[in-house]
This record gives sequence, C-alpha cells and structure tokens, in this order.
Amino acid sequence: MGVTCVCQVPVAEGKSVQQSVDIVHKKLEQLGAVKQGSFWVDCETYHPTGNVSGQPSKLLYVMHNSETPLSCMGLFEGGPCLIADANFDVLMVKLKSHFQNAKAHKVECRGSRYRYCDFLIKVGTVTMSSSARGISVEVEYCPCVVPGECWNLTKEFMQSFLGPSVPELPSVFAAKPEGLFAPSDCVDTMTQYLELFNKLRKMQMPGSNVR
Amino acid sequence: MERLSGLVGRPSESHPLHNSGLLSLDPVQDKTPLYSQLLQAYKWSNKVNMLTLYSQLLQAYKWSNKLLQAYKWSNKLLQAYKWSNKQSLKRSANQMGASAKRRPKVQPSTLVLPPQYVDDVISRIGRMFPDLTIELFRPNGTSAVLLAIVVMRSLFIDRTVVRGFNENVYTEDGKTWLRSYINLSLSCLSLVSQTWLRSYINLSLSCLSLVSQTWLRSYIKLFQSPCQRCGRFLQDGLPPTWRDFRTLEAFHDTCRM
Repeated sequence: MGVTCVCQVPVAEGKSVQQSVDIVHKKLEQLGAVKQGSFWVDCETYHPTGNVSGQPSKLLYVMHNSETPLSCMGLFEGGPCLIADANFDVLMVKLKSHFQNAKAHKVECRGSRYRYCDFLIKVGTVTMSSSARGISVEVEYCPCVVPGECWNLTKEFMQSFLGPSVPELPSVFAAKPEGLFAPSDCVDTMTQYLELFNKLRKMQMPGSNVR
Repeated sequence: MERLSGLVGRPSESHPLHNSGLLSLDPVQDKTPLYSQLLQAYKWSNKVNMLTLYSQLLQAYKWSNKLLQAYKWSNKLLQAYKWSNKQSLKRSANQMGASAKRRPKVQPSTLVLPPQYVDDVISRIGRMFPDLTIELFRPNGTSAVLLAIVVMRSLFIDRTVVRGFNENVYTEDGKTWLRSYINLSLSCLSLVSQTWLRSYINLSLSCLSLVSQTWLRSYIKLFQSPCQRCGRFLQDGLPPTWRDFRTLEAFHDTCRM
C-alpha cells in the first residue's frame, strides 16, 4: 500500500451527481486509465450510552473498506483506531447495551476503481439514507510510502483530471513528523474518509435523492 | 601333465574376493571354513561403508535445513527492523542486572528518535543473543524510496533487482524473486541495466562500484525532483527516472534525448 489522498469533488454546475461522476470517469479514460472493477467504503455511527461524567461523549465509528474485506476498523474522530477482523461487527451487536447504533447516520461511498500506471483512482458517490451527498475521489500512489515526498507528484496527477479543485496536503499527513508514514493498514485512508463523511453529513443537499 | 592341464576349468571371474576367492577351489577339507568366513567379512564391510555414507548424507541434509531456517529467520528480523526503523518506534531500555534496581531513565515520548539511539538499542539486543547476527541497513537514511538489490561477482555487477519499498522481494518459499507490480521499479531496473552496461566500457573495476553507488544514491529524491527539461513531475505516469552521469540531474526517459 502506498500514499493515499481522499478528497471531495464539487458537483459540476447545472449537473447532477451522477453526471459529474461520469465526467470524471471520462477524463480518466482519456488520460489512459483502465477500469478495474468497483469499490465501497461504509461508516456506521455508535452512540455510547450511560454517560456518567456529563461530558459530551465521543462517537464511535465502525468502518469497512472493500480493499480490506476481512478487516473492520473502529475509530474515534481524532482519537485511537482499532483494526479488527469482521467479527467486530458481531461484537458490537453484543455490546448494544453500551453502544447504540444510529442506523439513520450510516454513510456509504460506492463507485468505480481505475488504474493508471502506478496510480489507483477510486471515484465514488457518497450516499446517506439513499440520498446522494457528494462525490469522493481517492488517489493512491503505490510506489511511495512517505507522504511528504510524493505530495507534489500526486497533486500534479490529480490536477490533470480534476482541474483546479485539488486540496492541500491532508491534515492527517500534515500532523505527522517528517519522514514517517503509517503502516499499510489504511488507518490514514479511513481517517480521511471519516473527515469527508462528517463534512458531507453536515451539509444539506435539497432535492438530491438520486442514487 | 600338459594334456591334463587343459581339462582344468578356468577360475570364475565373478569372484568378489579376487585372489582370495581361489581358496574356494582348494579340495582339502579344512576344519576352519576360511573361504566362507572371508566372504561374510567382505559383505559386512561393504554394508558398513554404505551405512556410513547414508548417515553422513542425512546429517548434511539436516544441517542445510537448519541453515536455511536460520537464514529465513534472520531475513524476517531484518524486515522487521527496516519497518521499525521507518516508524522509529519507541524501544524500552534494558532493565536486566543491577540496573533494574535503579530508577529507569525517562523514555523519549516522541516517535522521532535519533538514529544513534536506535543503533544502541539494536546492538544491546545483539549482545543479549550472541549466536544472532544483526546487520543494520539504512538504504536512504530515514526516508524510503525504492529497494535495490545489486548482485555482484567480485566487482562485476551480475544483476540488479529493483522493488517498491513496501513490496515483498521473495516468494513464500524464500527462493524465487517475486515480480514487481510497480511500473516504476521496472522502469528503474531497465535504466540501471543500461547504466551498468555503459560503465563497463569506460571504467576500471575499482571505479565501477563507486560510480554505480553514486548513481543509485541520486535516486533519493526520485519522487521530489521534477524533470530539468520539461519541469513536470510525471510523464506517462512515471517520475523522472534518468540521471545525468555528470551532473546527476533528473530527466524523464524521453526528455533526456
């Protein structure tokens, strides 16, 4: 696993979410990328019950990624992350007296997966309660393991098909000391997805019930 | 006598005991069965020789198996060290012996540790296990670009293997080179091969190793250096992989022409 960047792509003016996704697909194919199947990422929210101290409790997010189908990640926003196998979901059911599942807050991102040379690009539609909330693009540069070294290179590639709407270095990498990279357990990737999902969850999308 | 001598049969040529086997032709009845005892002794010595050879082969096989397992284990330890060096994980101090009674020193709380500290901890671990040899490698300081394995015969470079830093080099049996899935490493490999070929023509053996190591060292900024000609990082999805021999500036493979 290499360095991964997840960012949000704005919906084209006058177009629907699906049309904007198709535009990105077309640009990738013009560049020479080859489609390699599909991907999905989802995130469920759990509220801790029985808060004695009275302080606002932190939400627990349980996330899944099709790149690691046998794994399950439990993380707090800005806090520690747990990587477990798929039985973690069953464990959360057993712990329902301590953690309540907010099923209405489940967020999913589904889309197509492309490969261009040593880049892996995933363009997905983020949906919540069957309502499309936005478009996500994940770009992974496989040969490099240090984010600070290949950020300019990755940014140049993203500009070639996304245009000017390219973000700066993700905050999860900016907070790391120079030269270090998290091990290939996709913790940084899922943290970026969580930030994106929380941002889109707070946005309101009137009249966008298209999936 | 001459007529009778022709009637005597020729001795058998399939005698295992050669001249001693002629004893079997002695018609004199003897109390001691010398010939049969000689034959038994010959068969027994043959069996002993054969069993000795088998046991030596078996011991050699067991020893080579142990050596292979020790090699695999040391490879795993080396990979674990490379990963931990990349992460600069915090290591605990050695608390054995008299030092256990003293108050432990304050451990560094940051993930960034000086290389000397990591060296000291690893050498302390090596002293704890005298039969374990640990060799430290820092291919690119604290950064990680690509992994290049140069196989040499004396000072001649036999072959070069380039892989991504997070790729496996060997298959699970530890014998076969695993093919790289990264286009960049394949591109670097072809360029490195061209460089060795060119170096053979002009340089002496003593200079060849220095030039090759300097050229490899120039790849430390592989992902950070734009092409000096076109100014871009990528061309057809690849960073500038060619290095000028004199100035070590970065160029794309097509931009260098």
